[in-house]
Amino acid sequence: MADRRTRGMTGSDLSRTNTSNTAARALAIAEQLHHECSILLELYRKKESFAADVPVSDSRLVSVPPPSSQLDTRDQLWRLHSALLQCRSLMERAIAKEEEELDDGRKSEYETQRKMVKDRLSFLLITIGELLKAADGTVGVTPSGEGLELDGPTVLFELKLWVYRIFKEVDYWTKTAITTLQALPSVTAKERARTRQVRSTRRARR
Amino acid sequence: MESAGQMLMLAALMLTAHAGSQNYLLTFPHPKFVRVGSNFTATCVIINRTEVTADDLYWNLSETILPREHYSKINNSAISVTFTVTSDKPEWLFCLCRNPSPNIVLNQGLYMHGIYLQKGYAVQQPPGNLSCVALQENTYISGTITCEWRDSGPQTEQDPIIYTLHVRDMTSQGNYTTTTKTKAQVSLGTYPNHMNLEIWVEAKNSLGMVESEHLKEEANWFVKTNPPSDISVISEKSFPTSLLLNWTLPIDKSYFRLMYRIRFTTEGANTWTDVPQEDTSQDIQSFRLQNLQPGTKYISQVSCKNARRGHGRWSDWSNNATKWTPEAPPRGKPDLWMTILGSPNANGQNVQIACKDPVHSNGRITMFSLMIKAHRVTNASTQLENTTEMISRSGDITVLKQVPIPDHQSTQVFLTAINSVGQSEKAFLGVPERERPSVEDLRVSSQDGRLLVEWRLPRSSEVSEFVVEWVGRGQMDWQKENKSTTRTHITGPLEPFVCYRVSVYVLRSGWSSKATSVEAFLKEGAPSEAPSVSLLGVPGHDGAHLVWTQIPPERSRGFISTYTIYYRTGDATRAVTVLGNSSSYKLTSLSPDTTYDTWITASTIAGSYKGSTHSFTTQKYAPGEIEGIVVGVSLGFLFFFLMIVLLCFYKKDVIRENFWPRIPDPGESTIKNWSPDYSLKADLPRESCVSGISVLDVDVCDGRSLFDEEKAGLPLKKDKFLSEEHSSGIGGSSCMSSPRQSVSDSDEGGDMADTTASTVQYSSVVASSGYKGQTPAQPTLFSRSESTQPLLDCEENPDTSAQEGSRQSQRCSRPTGNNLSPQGAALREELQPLDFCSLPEDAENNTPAEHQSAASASSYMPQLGGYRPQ
Repeated sequence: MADRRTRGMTGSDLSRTNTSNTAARALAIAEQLHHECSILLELYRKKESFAADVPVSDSRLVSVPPPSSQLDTRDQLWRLHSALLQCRSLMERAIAKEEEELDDGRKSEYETQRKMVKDRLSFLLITIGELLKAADGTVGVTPSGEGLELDGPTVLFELKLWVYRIFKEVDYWTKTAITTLQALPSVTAKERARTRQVRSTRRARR
Repeated sequence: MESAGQMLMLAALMLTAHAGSQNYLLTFPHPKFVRVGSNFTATCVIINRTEVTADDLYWNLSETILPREHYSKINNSAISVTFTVTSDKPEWLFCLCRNPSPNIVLNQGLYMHGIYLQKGYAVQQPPGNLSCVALQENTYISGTITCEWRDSGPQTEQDPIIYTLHVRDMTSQGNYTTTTKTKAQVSLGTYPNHMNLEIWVEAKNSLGMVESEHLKEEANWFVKTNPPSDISVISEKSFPTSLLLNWTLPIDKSYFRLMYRIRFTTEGANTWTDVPQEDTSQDIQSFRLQNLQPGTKYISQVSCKNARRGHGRWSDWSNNATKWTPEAPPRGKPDLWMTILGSPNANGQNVQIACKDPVHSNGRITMFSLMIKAHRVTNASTQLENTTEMISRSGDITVLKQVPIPDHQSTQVFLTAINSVGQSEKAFLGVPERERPSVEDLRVSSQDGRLLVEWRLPRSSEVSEFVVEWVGRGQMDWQKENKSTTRTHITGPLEPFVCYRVSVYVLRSGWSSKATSVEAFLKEGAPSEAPSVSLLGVPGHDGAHLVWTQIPPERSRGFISTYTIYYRTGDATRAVTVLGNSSSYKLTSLSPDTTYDTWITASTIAGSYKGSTHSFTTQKYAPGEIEGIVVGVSLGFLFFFLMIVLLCFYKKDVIRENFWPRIPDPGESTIKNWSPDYSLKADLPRESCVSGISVLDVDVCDGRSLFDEEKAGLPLKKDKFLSEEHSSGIGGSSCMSSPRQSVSDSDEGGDMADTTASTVQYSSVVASSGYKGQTPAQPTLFSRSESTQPLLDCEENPDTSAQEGSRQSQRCSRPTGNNLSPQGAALREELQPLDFCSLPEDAENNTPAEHQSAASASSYMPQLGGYRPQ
């Protein structure tokens, strides 16, 4: 049997990290994603010669329940997770569409940044998923792609605007994630209280 | 159970072999790799042959037969061997069969089978010291992570250890890469900042596998960013002791927050000054350096890392950011000093005024204001000289001016340093008209790579401070010590193998004393040169005076402790060691007329160096030796001559007797009384006895001729002969007779027949060829008797002499009688009355022995070869 030793975190820690640390990491990833997304938008605008105030539709590409103060933390996280998941689907579709329609075979800074944003979005989803798991043990139902404009327009200009809208959508939901996650410590505190309650209940049962 | 299984395997193998192999032996197992150090067991089976048995089998490993004690016989047709695998080189293990009997010769090609053993090592230890780093690329962290680790122990070429580097993140199964080295990279695509990573290394070969420890850390734990860029330094005139640093973040804050470290130094300094970490651990992009020296050039660098404790690695240092701090007026005084140039002369001494900038020059000193005040005691005059100059700067020393300082003159020097903003305080240095005592017992030694200077305080009075000055290889420097110091290290940079003249002065309120100096080396080395030896004068015959020029300390690379003089002739080399302060030596005990090669070796405590060789040849003779020899020889001759003279003088009688024998004076002989009237006949017998002293053998021919010649004159000479008969009768010895006399006698030999009885013979003439009819062809030999026997003795012993003489007469007369001519016969008849040879018959009857005896008995033996003592 091969010798196996660990340093730092234990093996179980890897899958069950501390919730607060996870929330902090999620927030850090969201901020990083926001930074990278803004760079991507800049690169895209530069690439497509779009002005900073290029008119795009105010309507959201992602369909999630409307925000409400009535939503608890878990629901907020679920809503966020759902929106980001749709964003990733849209982005994957946009990337596929771009590669299908516009790819010139070169790996430019834009492509690198685009891949980085998509991967970072995946990291954020994983981290938020961990938070959701920590909240109630389930990640929740993965929303389907129904209702999303995944096919995209066929006209090139509209396609470019559609891609731009997707990036803007990612940026929007990244900012939403930051906001949501920054408010998460209260959730963490609640969770901590819940954990203490569970422990005390167990002790009482003994 | 195991045995049964082995038997079953054997059976299966035999069946298999029977089907496919043509060899009659079969070995197994055939492992891919065998672990070095393990015991390996192989089995060999005989297939379908009965002429050989297991006892005939043997194992051969790398052409070496394995000992039988390692064998194990399974049955009559199978044998196994067990041995320890030691070598890590691949090798063949053969099962072979020997001929079962001398009558059976096996086909060895069929009776063999082999196992190829490839060796390997089990992976002994997990890869250790695993460390990984993810570097920044552009504005983000590269997705490629690089890891290094320590190897897992020995391996073989056949079975190398393959390392697999695994990196796993939360999104996927991760990635890995394999290598045989101890460094590898894994690409993760996008670097998962803030995500957890698990990294480990798996070491595997055919004989096992081990894993390293698993690094489970957040991805930013492995990150190393670029250093901060665009470092700018801002200098503000209103803050001459401060500089403001600004920089650009190497990576966006969203990746992670950064902490910094800053260091700075002045230009030319070797050490960096670090800004305390707590001041730079904040998320900052600028920092103000404070408490700096005004007017000084500072170099700054910045580095950064992940601000999270324990995360990330420090980046490399940024590029240098250089800036001068604003200038301020110099603070303090310039360090003023005067060093003496050369030796003092009759008029005084020359000094060189030099200075160092004030410790806090607060900027670049652009000029010095120098004032020299000279006061002559003799005429109480004072001279003032004001100059403002910036002459030459050598390092941190500025040479200002050379001035003569005459004796009996006090000199005061005042100096002010000036920069662009202001001027310093005034420094003062004075040289009094009279020398003041300096330190005592100055010692300088090398200690820990520095020169330690120690001294004793002068007895006199107050001391303000000491100045330690050192001069070496044309460079001068000094340092000042406070008044309580008695030992200090020289702080300036010193070079090894350089002779430094270290001087200590006492300053009393700025007035300098005389110097106390010693020479010292920071480190001594072997000399780089040695003096050339030469001769003083010409070499002697056993010595030579060698001289050489001492190596000055500045070129000797150390204090010359000894000089060793070598001198060699042939294969013999001798050496003489003299002290290092010597410059000449006299070689002694040299061999004369010999060429010597000589050289000198200069030695310090660190080594020595051989000088060039000089040859000389010693002289053959010492001075005066030739003259001595000549004088000695001359004196010797002179002495010898004198000795001869003296000897002759004192031994003149002996010499006279030897060279000029004394002839007896016949006048004093009793024979003088002989009467001439005596009857010849009556006296003849007596005369015949005396005649034995003088014998004349005359050749017949000669006698005849003589007779013929003399016959005519005979009557005329007869009287003479007769008158001489008296003397011949007295002279019994003829040995001292002169040759002339002998010749004369011979000449008169013709008369001998008739004068023998009356003539004294001083020599005998022997006709050696006159024996028994021999032909007288040979010349007649004359043998002069050396006898000194006085004839008087014969006279005194007439009987003996007569007897001998008669025998000789008989011998001589015989040939005469035989060969006489008619004239001779007549003469003989005339001589008959002498009765000289009266018994011819007796003579004829004498035996040769008797004849010989008679001859030997004669006092006058004929000697052909010389004289024989009688």
